Amino acid sequence: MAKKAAQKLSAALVFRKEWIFDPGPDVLGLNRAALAKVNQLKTAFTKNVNEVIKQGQG
Amino acid sequence: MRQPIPLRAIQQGHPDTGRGRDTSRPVMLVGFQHQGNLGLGYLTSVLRQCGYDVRVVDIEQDPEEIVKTAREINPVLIGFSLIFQFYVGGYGELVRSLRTGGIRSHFTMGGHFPSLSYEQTLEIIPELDSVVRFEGESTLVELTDAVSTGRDWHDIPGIAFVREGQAIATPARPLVEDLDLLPYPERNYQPDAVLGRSIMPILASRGCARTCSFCSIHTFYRAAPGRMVRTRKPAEVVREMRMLHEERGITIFLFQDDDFPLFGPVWRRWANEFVDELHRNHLPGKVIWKMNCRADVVERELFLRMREAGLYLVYMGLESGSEQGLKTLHKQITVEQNVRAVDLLKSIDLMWEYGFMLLDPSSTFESVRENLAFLRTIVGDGCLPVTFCRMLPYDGTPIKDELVRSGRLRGDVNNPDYDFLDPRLADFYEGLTSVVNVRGWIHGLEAVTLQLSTAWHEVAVMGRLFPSLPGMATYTKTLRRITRKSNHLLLGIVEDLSYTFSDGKENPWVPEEVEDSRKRILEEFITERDAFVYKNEAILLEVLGQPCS
Repeated sequence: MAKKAAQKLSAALVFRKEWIFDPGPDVLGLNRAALAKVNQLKTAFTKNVNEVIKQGQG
Repeated sequence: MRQPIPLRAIQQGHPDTGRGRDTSRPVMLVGFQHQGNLGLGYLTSVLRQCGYDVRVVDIEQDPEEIVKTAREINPVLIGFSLIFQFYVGGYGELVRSLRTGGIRSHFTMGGHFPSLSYEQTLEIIPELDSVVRFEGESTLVELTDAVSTGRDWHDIPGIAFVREGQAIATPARPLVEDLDLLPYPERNYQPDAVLGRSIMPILASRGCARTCSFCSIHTFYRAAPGRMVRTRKPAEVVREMRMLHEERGITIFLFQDDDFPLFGPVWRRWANEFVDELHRNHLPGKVIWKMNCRADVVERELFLRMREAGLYLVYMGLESGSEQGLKTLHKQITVEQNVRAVDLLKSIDLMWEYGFMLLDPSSTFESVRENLAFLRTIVGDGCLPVTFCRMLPYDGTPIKDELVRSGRLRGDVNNPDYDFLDPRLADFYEGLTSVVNVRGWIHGLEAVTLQLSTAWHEVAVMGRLFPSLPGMATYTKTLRRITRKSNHLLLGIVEDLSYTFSDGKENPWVPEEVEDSRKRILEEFITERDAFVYKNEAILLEVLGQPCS
């Protein structure tokens, strides 16, 4: 039910956590563009590691 | 010395101030755009009234894109709006990228930090040609006029610049006396929305009469000539709201006033007139609004009236639950007043949120525990998530000056910091950040606090802008249970850690386990939320006039 709900929700009703986002000082002093890139790299890294593990198990 | 441009001339779209203007090249304004940037919006409107084409650029864009835009439009002037001191380094990088990218426009910067600390700003970012100090509407027009026609601009009031290695400030320009003479801010962007309801920021006043020691707002307004707090006419504010509602479909207004006009008999009268105007314009029931205030202005009768007129969310800077902390922060308020305000808002079923500083320069382990007890008192029931931060000593604040005097200021302009009186508190804070991912729990998009706060905002919006939803009471109860669980866990961790560092008690918390708990809370919350919204999708979409998927 929950997964179905999340997948099927109309775009207008999807939970938008960013709308009241209050940007605070970043501990690393990174600008937002740099943070976004770091997060992208982290996601890609996790994906790659998982892929390697999956292949290794196969 | 030149006389400033009369604001009325700007308001009336006066084509020329008598000293010439070349509008053939555009102006580029760069700033933070989240939730709309009213400061840039007002500057844009004023410049456009004077005939300038203005391009507003989001600072969060890829810097290469910003350089590319500047190359394409070849602006006569680029104005950088710095609203957070800790971004000064990032802005400096962008400014350097623009210069090394061959952009030769006049570079200027405005905002609280550049206004109050223009010497440091010009030193950190030497590529800047000038700083526009304090309220910038008239100064920026005059500066652009001078630069566009090649005239000398160094004697324009309200600016600062470097000459022969020395930072020089011209006399400060008076604050805008009559805010209603300003055009409405430019809002040429797609508004944010929550549950399909569009949101816009708006201003009813500028300035703050209070004197909190950690805040630079009052020093910003005190440093310039003119009345510190100016309010718009209630009818003018409501006229703008009505226009935005009718023309743009805006139903949620976020008042961004430094301190919404409620303090003292004059401003209470203002607030009552504002409520009357909303009713006269038949806006209650169609729009809702949020405002920021202090706890000592919360009173039953007025807040009930405002609630009936659409007030749905009250932000209060409570800041401390310790009398010593409140004194240090010069809040001129008591813990009891803070608690009373919270209780009153709860009793009239008005949603609220709060700012809170767990640690400040006067902190001790005792005050930390007082603060935790206070947080348990106000949100232990799960009505809102726990949130807190550590006070940071920003430029222009009395508390930073005091820390300098006492030799406790540390860090730099990008990361201002200070020594605690009890050095073990620094270890405690470091321990806290390593056990609880403070950014993951309190700050940032993935934070529990942010997501649960947003969920409570949604509940308030659902309750005020949608018809009664089946299952709402159960969902609210569930959300309260999840929030209570999260609060209990977080407060327990902080308290246990305080004893670890003060009394040497064993730390029972393992970072990985805490992180797992955080993730489980978030998963449980989003599952419940999506299931509830999905069940009510048809009703919600019908109100929004959208077809059901």
